[in-house]
Amino acid sequence: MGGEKVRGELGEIKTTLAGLSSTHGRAPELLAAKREVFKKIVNYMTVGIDMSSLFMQAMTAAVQHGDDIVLKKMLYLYICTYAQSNPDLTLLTINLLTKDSKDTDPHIRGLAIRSLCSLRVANLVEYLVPAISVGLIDQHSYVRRTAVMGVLKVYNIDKPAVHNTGMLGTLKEMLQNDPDAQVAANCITVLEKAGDMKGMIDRAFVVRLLNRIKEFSEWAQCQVLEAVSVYRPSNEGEVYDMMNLLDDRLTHSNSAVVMAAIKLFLHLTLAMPATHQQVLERVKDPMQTLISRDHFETAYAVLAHFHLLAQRAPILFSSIYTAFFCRMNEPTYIKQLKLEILAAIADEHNAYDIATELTEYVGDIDPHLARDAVRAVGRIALEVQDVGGIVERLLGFLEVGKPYVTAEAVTQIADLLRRFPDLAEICVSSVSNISPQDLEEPEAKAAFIWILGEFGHSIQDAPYLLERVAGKFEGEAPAVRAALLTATAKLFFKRPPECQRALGMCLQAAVADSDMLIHDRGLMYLRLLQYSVNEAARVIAPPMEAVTAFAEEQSPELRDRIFDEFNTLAVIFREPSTAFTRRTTVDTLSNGFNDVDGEGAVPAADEGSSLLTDTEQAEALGQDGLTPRLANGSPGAAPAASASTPLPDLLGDLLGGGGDLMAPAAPAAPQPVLSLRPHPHLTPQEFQGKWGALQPAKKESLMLAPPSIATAVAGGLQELNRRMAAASLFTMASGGAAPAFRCYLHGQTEAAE
Amino acid sequence: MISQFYILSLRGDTIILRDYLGNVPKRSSEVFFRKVKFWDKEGGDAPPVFSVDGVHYLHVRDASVLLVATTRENVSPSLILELLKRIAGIIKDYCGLLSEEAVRKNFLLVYELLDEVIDYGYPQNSSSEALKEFVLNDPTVLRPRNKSSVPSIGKGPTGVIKSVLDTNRTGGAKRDEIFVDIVEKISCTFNAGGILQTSQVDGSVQVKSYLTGNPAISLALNENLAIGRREDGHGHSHSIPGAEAVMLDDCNFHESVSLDRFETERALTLVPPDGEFAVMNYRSTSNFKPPFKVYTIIEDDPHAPAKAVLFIKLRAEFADSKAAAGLEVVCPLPHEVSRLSCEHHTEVKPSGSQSWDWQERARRLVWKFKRVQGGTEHVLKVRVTLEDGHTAALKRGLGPMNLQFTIPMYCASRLAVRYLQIMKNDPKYQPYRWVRYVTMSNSYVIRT
Repeated sequence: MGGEKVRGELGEIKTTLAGLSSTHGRAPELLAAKREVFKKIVNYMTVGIDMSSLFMQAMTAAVQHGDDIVLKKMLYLYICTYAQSNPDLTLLTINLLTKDSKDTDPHIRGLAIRSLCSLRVANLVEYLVPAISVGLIDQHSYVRRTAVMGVLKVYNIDKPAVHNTGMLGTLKEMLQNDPDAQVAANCITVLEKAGDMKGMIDRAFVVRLLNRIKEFSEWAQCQVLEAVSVYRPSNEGEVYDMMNLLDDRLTHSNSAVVMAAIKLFLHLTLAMPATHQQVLERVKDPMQTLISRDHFETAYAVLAHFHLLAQRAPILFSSIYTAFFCRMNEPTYIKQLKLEILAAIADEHNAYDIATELTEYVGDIDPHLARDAVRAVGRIALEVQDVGGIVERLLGFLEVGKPYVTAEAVTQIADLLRRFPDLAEICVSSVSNISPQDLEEPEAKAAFIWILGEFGHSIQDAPYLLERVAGKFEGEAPAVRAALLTATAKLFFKRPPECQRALGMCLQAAVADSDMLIHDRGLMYLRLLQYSVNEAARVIAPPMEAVTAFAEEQSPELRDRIFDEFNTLAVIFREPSTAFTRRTTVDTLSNGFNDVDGEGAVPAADEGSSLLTDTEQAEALGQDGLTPRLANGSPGAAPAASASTPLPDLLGDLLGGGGDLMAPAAPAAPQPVLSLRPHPHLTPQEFQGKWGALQPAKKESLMLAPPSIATAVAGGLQELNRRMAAASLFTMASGGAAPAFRCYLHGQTEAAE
Repeated sequence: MISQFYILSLRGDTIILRDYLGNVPKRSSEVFFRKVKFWDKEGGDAPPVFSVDGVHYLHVRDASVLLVATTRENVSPSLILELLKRIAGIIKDYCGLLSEEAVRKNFLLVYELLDEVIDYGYPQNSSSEALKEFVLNDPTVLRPRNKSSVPSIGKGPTGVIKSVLDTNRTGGAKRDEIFVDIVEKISCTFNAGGILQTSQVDGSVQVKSYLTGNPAISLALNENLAIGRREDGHGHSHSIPGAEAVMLDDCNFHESVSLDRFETERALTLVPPDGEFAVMNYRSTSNFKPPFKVYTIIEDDPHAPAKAVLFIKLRAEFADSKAAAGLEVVCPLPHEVSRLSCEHHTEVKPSGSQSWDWQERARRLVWKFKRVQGGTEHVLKVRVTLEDGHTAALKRGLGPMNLQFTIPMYCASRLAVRYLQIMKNDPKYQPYRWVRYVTMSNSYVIRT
């Protein structure tokens, strides 16, 4: 919709409203006309057109028909939407809302309290508290429910206001005594958020709550189960009592209730291994029923949990493998998960059947499914070695004749050979039938080249295949160039005369390469070879060692951390929540900025949390001095100082790999001459103020090698924050996702007050 | 918990928007929609849960709209997705059906409902029944194009388009009635030898109730119903050996169901809330006979190596008193096939209700029937010309075939409603009771 037209419409609505307001009387037509105008306004609001300029007119028109609830509801929706951008005008509505909160109709009382508390304007809190306090002791449960949620709304705007009035105490009492289950459920919500729930959970409380669980709505049941899951029973008898009481929750048709109950059961029995196994056995059937329902989205969430459990206890699920066979009509996200589960639960008994089924999918017209199926067979070949025929199936995929199947198969075979070099004998002849020209995808091409380099001694054409690719070195993707350089060098030591030409081409191209990694590696090879061929052979082509674990695989510790967060997004994203939920400081900070900007005042404000553009962000990252510090640090001391293993890699790349790059930068880097306080005091508000007020003193862009970045940002920038803290620079807020991260750091000089 | 809730059309227009917490950028629906639209580049359909810039997006797709919730918290995915599903159900109950047009026509009603269902991002009141007292706007119920007084059986209870408000508000359409549908979806996979490899029935007892005063009902199922593999007591006493027993692997029940009489009489008692819901969901892998079998034969032409004849034989193996509707046999063919023509070997009555369609771009042959009587057999003779070469390519590249069909008044698991009793002490109260059965294909795959 064009801006002109919108302005025209706005003007028209304004005039209509004014016209309607000046017409006195209570004719039903007048009301109908007003409803129509409001409908229009709500409609425009929905599509994102700013209607805030109608505030006065809308108020006036609606107040005249104060007894029409339909109109009232629309007015309140309008007010709540624009209250933040119009705090002054919102003040005018307080009277109306306060009056309504004392209406005789409980629905209107509830509606008024809900709207009043949804205004999200900080300086109106003084008006909310009395209304809520009255609402909490209302006769009608609907009003009490709404008032309880109102407490949370106020809490999020102004915590002291809630603490000072003792409302949390009232809620605790209500949670115990209120006859309405939804009131109790809302009390749990608020107390959880305020961090006041933990202290309440004792045996008596849990028993009382669980005994009345069926009074709660299905959603509130989930909350109750979640709240109770922190309770640790004192003896095993109690655990069994709780599970017996809740067993029928596992046959609920709402998957949210079932999953919440499963979480509780699993956590209750963590210290009882035998019972824990029984629980896993018990929950299999209900979970299977939930994934069979005609609703893919909820099935997806349950399947993700199946995947987690299957990784923890594959043996329990290995007998129901047919439940994870794909169906024709399922969306890709379901099929992908099912294939991963199949790969996870394959063992010597079912691997053959599973691989047979997967082979059918490889012929599917959907390329995603076909690739995933090849990948799953590859996984099974890695994990289940004693079953014949799996590797042969994988090799058979090379002959399917679809480029994407071939590409995926080659990648999988390379991985297989990394772990089981002994399989080379079986694999090599099939692999040598393909030529690198057939593989378009860099990853597959690199995998193929790797095989040529490692096992080229038994592939007759290997040097010539490599030479052909080497002829077009510059045109290849970085991963292929790197693989090519290494593979050619390795094969050179096995078949020198045939490889010499190819190696010469590779080295020449590599030394001129713009990619630092390839450039440096080429240079290193060249110098090694110049220094001593024997020494070079020892470094470049040592006897191959089988890889026992791949870095991409999740560690059991990580899986345990995800398991702790059962029935949350952590299971879907397969990482602990610390990796994907930002710290609250970021939220308050960005919210603060939103308030300053005003809703929709500047288009860029819609970006919400982004304070900086991406380039500025890169500068900010450079400014913090991480790179110079690392580069200047003594290589011997740093690894010792750090307990985490990835660190040597980081250093290695910066010092060794990036040597040429770092050399000019290092002298320019400022040595830390300031002495900073180990524990600075700065509130987020102060920080924000300074951020706005101070001019940038220095901007700097620094390059980090990708592995260093990966290390620095791992675990939600933990490593970076840790290292910065070691330099007395502290993170006020940080966040973002690859490739753009933002860190707001601060330090305080010893002298500062 | 939930920061925002919105309903988007399949073109990405925002039809409904509620912002509860204000901690997610206003324009998040655009971010969401772009991500969903271009997901295919990353691999297939967008999953129901994903994350962009610290905002988690959860969505369900229903007919022609997307229902989306955003959050920054580490929520329970099942809870949010079930809630979205429930909201879709509530809109259906009130507007008669869920579609872009229905939501647009009733957007104020939807806002009203949402107001009560979610407060500050937390689910509150979500039963269509209890919501009635809060709703003031009247629904605009869209009627389907071909309006008929008898609800269509094909779609199960969803075929009934009626708002829950009809029973007490709008005088004209008021009619007390209750629909009980046994809807079963079957999944079968036959291997290349024609042997049934895996099979499963996923069933659900759907109730859609429009009874004034919400009397309790009692729904009795087969007496010989056995719920297998469960060790907690249900079923064991009933697992009568022999072919007679109706065996279910597992089932779950709606909140409102009381199982007090299930153990002894296999009867479910409940006070059905207004609107549509599944009283019971179940799955079964035993005792069921696939309704259709398909065989293929390829005959080479000894004189012309590039030509072959493919016979597709379909047999309907269920009672001749029943008939399948809208049957489609989909047969993918390899890219070597350059031309083909088909002849029917049998004539189905009424004539002309059988046809074939060669979708060259998708490389699939679709054999369609309007109606297939039980106990009948049909053959399609396909003359194929291969671009280069051999019938071996045809044999290798053929299939897997799949079938789509609906069989009304047929129940694969043999689950049955013995009686439906409305427990109201009023001999004059005789609402309409519809007990219907329908079996549909879910994934019916014949490998070759």
